[in-house]
Amino acid sequence: MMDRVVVEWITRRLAQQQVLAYALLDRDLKILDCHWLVDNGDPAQGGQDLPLGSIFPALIGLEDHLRHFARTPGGEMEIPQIARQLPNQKPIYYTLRVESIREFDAHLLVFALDATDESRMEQQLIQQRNELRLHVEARLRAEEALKQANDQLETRVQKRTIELQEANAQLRSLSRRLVEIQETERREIARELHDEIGQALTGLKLLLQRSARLPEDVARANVTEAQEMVFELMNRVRQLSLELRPTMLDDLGLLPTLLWHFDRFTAHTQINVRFKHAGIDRRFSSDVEITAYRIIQEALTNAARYANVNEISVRVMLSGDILGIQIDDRGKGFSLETFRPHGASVGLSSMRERVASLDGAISFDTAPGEGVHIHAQLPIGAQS
Amino acid sequence: MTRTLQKKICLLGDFAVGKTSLVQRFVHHRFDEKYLSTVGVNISRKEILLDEQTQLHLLIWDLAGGEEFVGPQANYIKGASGALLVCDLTRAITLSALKLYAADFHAASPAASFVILANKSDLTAQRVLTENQLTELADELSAPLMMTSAKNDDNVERAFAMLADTIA
Repeated sequence: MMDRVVVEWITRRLAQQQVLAYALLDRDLKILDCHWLVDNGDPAQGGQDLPLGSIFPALIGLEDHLRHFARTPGGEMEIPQIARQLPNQKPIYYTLRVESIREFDAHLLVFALDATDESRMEQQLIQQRNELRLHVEARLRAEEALKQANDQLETRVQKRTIELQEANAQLRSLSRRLVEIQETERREIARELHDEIGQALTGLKLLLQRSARLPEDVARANVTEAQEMVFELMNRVRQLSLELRPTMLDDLGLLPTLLWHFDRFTAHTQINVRFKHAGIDRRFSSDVEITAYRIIQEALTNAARYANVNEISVRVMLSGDILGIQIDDRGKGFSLETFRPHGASVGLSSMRERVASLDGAISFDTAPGEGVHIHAQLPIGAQS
Repeated sequence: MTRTLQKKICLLGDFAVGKTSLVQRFVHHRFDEKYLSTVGVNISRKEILLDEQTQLHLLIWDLAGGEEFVGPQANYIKGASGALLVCDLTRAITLSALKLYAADFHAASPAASFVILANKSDLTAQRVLTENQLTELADELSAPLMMTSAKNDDNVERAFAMLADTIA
């Protein structure tokens, strides 16, 4: 215990400050005197026998610094806002100050200043600030997520817009080509009517006019010739009608029409059609039958024009509610990306449109030297 | 005969990364969902038996996050033997801040050791920090890395033990 003179010095030195504890240390950090408020708030004296760390745990680890201070007049250090949790109470806060002194035998004065009020206020401010920061961070993250979602949406919209523009362009192109095809067909029909049927009718008319002026026996011979011309004319008209739309498709259905078409195709092109089928000896809806027929007809026509083959494989199989069509040739093939023969391209577009109108699917697998492989699937329940 | 060591360690990292929760879990085996920001420093004690001959008295300084250690605050980290650098797996900004804390700490205690803790591993859906980002910092600081969850008590004991082994 220090004498009264020391206590008075300490009291003067720490006047006006809310001191919770103080200690005087010698240069070896030995406690010369100590005064502190114990956990229940009562003051106590002494402490000479206690290690410094048990009274001021905040100084543990700083012994070397403190010894240096003890030898350095005028030095001081401060450890602010140390929380001390008392049982069943809010924490109190103190600031620990260490000053180098040269009074009596002491070299260091350590004291704890009450910082509870200011620290609690600061804690409330920091709490609000940090909660605000967390709120801002969360909001920024949400905004970033929203921005990313917007960007993704924008990208999808752009992609869909491009797809739509391409689809519209394809549709316009298809419409143009359909008109071209229609005009070509009309031109060919007109030519057929004028050059073939018109000429034959003119010849028949002249023959009959001439016969009226001839003797009966000669005229009879002309009538025989006229009958042959009429028979030929009937054949031409039937042929023309079949080319426009085979009536047997409506009358007899898909399978007989395909068999008839393959015979005619082989007869005209010398290309053999290897045909396998299952489940199609029945009637389908008119849309399905004409679509299946046109796909196969178009595929065979393209193969005859471009593939340079002797044989084409056609398979038509009914599986459940799906009519599957597979047409394969081992001909020249072509690149879908770089080479699109005008007629074939129209044909492919036409096939796509026909299949799409039935909610079906069609794929073209081809490459130069790899032949052409067409696979279509038509839902037989679909009605356009 | 048992050897007793006394070491000071610090927990450093941005605010609300879970430093106080890690200490509460390690020292008092409890967890509180409510966020209560730390002002100044909370000092806790914990004894660890390193081996049959060595008892370690850890002085754990839980420092307020989001503060620079300049002026009087620099004295918080003086004399520390090691630090747990804590980031929040759900907030990317808390990882980059660790470099600054490490620099401050290294300036005050050049020989001290670090262990990096990526906390809140229980919040898997909100996680934003990647394994690569974490290992990159761990390599840069030459410090081991651990994923922790104070809430689920995942790796908390191991994290403190790892630092204790390093500094003992």
